[in-house]
Amino acid sequence: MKFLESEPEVALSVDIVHLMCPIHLLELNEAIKKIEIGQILELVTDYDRALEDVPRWCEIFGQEFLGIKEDGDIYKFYIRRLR
Amino acid sequence: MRRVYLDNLATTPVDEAVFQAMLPFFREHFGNALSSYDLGVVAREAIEKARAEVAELIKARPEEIIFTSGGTEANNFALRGLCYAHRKKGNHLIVSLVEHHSITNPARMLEKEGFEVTFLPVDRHGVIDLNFLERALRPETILVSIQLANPEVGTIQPLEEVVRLAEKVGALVHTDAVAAIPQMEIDVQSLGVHALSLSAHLFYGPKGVGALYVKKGVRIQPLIIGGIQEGGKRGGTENVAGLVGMGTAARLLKENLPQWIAKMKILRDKLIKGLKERIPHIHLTGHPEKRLPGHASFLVEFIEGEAMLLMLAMKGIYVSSGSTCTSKALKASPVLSAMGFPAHLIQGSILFTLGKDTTEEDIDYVLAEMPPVVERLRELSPFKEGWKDMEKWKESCPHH
Repeated sequence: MKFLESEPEVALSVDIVHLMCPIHLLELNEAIKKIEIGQILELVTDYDRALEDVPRWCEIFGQEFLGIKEDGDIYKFYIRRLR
Repeated sequence: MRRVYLDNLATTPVDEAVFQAMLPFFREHFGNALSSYDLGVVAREAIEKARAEVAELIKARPEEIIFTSGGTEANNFALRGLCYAHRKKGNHLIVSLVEHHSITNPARMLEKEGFEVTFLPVDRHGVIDLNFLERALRPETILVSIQLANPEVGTIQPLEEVVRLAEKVGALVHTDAVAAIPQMEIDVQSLGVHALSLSAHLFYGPKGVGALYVKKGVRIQPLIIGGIQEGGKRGGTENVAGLVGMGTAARLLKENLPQWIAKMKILRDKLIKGLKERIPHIHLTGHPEKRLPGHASFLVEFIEGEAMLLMLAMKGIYVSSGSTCTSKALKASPVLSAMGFPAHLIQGSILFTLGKDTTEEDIDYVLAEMPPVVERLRELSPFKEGWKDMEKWKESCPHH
């Protein structure tokens, strides 16, 4: 897992804390369409399976997974839209 | 026999337009909103239309509305969902003593689970004690839940003040607006609350449908965990017909409420004035001015409310004794107790809640039929002797 030192500048932040599978991927899929190519999306979640699913989703859908930042028991995922 | 229904905070009949709007969704458009084919699309679009209509009613955004199975679920969801989602901030919540059971009981459950609960007292009009609230609030306070209006005595609570005080310690504010919604115009933006509960069957919609407004950006933990319905915040296949009914009822309420309020207020005032003139030893409960426009609640001395209720029902008058939903639980109303009324007076509680279809003839009928019922019951009353003693006492008492 890639851990970021600092939080990058994001175009959109989506908070899905307390929500579970498959909301993490459905929200990700919707949110990425709302930002421009080159911009960064932040996905805030406490769902452990996102640790596996989000990087894999980025791989499949051709988006760049920048890494995560931990904030207590909450994870912030950073994804750059490539396409 | 004439039928006069004055128990509109117990429930209301489904409006004809609401009923007609619901019908196609039982059979013709029976699809599951999650299905991707056309039957599912129709259901999905109907739900989103209903969501927009409910949002419009309280001036919220559609994405801030989470549908539930009713007011009780919405209240449980708000309390448990907000407390658990914000547990990091602290473990303290505040509710009033005059909340509905769907608030006080979940609060007691949270207490068992390790949260600390402060129950706010009220004054003799049923208004929450703001000074007590200010002292009770602390940095660990997660949530304050105060009803918008009390269903039993009609008192409207000072929610804006509650929000102002809660903001100082960063606490969230939830309001149970179930009783208020059919009789008050509600704007969540100006109220400033973070969550608000609604129930369709009190505003001419079907039973078994409700909603929780949760302000955008406020985290809430789901209560019913399942699929992706309601954005993953409330699992379970949607009650499409019910939601269509709630949406239609919300639209009708939005369009007509100002006229309905004006009409109910005139009739309510006539009822209050008329009963006070015709029946001795009857007292209005709740706030004299800051009360719901279609709400008249009384304590009738030397009488047992349940007996009065049954005798009025024999005349075709449907009312409630004590909290509309607890008239079956034959115990002293916790609301009236919290307001400081002694148990023997609480026994004689009676509650009229008007609706959009209440007419002047209905009120005239009550004014004609109720006084003889009270008189007759007082003749039979076990409190009768006490009443006579009280009369004597009053005659000699310098305070009367």
